[in-house]
Amino acid sequence: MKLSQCDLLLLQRHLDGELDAAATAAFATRLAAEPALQRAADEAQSVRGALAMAGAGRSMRPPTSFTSNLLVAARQLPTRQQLEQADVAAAAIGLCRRILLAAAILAGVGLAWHAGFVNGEQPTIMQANPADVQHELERLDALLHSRK
Amino acid sequence: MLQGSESAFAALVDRYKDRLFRLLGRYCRDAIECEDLAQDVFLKVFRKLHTFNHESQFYTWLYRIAVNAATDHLSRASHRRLRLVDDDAVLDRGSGDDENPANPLMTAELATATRAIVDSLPEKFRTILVLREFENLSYTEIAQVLQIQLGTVESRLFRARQRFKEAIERLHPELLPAGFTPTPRGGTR
Repeated sequence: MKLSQCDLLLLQRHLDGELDAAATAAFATRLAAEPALQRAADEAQSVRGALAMAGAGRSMRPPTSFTSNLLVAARQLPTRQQLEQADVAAAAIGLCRRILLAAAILAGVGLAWHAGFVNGEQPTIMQANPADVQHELERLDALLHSRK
Repeated sequence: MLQGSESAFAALVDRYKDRLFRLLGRYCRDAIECEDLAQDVFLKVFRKLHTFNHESQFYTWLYRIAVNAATDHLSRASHRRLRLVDDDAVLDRGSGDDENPANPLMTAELATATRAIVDSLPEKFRTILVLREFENLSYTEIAQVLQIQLGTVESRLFRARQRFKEAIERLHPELLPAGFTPTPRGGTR
């Protein structure tokens, strides 16, 4: 029987010790009753065993001089007060940049509007050339007369 | 501590350096590289200590900085030398005897082989395996370190183990018990 993804995730939680006591007991009952689930649990344990091998014997340890070397390096850093001031200065510079950018955009839009690029002089019916209007009226009159 | 006194910082370093080295050792090839990286991490902590908001444990905050530093380090290192992050490039550096599942590898070789597989996994899978399998962090702690949802922790961990299992099946089937159910190909992309 193929296990569902939900069952496999539940199994993972169980093996990782992430289920509470009641859920663990319920899952243990299922494990005892469902061979497919038990087989999946055994396989998962094998994978974990192989993973444990990967973790074995690779622990690095700090040298005894690590802390003192680190403190020497830390002394060359700015003081905490300077660091905080630098953070504040960086935030202020960022804010100024944003304000300048916004001002530049506004100025650009203003210039474009002033130059007529934004609110362009698009001709509307109310702004049509009087000669064109006259011509159109004459055409409509002619059409009307021809129907009579 | 937040006042930045040197002795308090030294105490903090002494308290966490072993743990940090153990974590960073999973990402480094040698002790010098690990020490440089650990120093970078602690200096970052020193600079950023005032931003620690006490909403999480200090070590999960430290781990977050360390994992970010380690993954940055790996991505930089990948430009300098062969350090692939795709598991199709798993280091199959056995001697030829390794191809015969009946010929068992020695324990040290097994450790090297399985470690090579973990190292070759995509970074996000490798990191979650390191945090769970080697550092024994709970799902909640992993979620805090990686700043992801609990559900994402579960699914990513599941996929990472699947990818590891696929690689083991492909490269070192002798590590798995007889009758092991093979993973469907391409099922965990």
